Amino acid sequence: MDFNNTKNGDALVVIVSGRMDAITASEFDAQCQSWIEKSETKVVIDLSGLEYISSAGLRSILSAAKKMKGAQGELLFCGLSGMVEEVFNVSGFAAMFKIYSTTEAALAG
Amino acid sequence: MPSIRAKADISSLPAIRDYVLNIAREADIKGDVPPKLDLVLEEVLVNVANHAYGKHGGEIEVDCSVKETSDSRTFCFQMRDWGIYFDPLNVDKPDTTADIDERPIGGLGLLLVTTLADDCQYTRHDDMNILTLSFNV
Repeated sequence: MDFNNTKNGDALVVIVSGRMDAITASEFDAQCQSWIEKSETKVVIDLSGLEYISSAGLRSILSAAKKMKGAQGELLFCGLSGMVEEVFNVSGFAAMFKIYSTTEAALAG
Repeated sequence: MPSIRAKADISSLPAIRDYVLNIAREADIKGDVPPKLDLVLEEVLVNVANHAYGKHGGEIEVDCSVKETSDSRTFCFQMRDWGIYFDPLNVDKPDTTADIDERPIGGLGLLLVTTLADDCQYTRHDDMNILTLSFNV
């Protein structure tokens, strides 16, 4: 899994690509920890390059979201499609998180 | 097609994934079934790896087949283990409407499996758990 971080105004835009599975999901936890340590409070996660996510990935995202919320921050998501979008829908994550079609929409939201 | 036998451990995921997706490819299965297979095989492997055996671990066996009738084609994925009795189809469904604060972490894997597979069957045969997942292709 790869992370490409770009600062955009007050927000941090993170493009996540590759596979978020039981082997790699902990990398997301580590990334989230670094955002909290840098006092990022609005993190836009662009999943358009994510090929795959399993429940292990959902677990990491939920854990990260709880920690962000505890630090008065929030995670926003954009660029969902295909199976990644279906997994977000089935799990209820699509309703629980703020989801936008594009990074621009997330930054404006 | 011979079955694959591997350690009931997440480290077996790449080998089992290659095995299952290769069979799907050879059977010329396209569309959304290969991505669904990719996901459910991880979920059921993780489930067995975490819960079936105690600290000494154990093994799993996987095989796949394509069943054809005059009007349908089905890809069947079967996983067997010799761990404790566990029916993954008979578990409480997690609340998918709770918000971030109230959501427990975990419990979504089997929901994904039962939602994405077109048919799920569990059998306990002697000391063996047998889970069969079918996908219409």
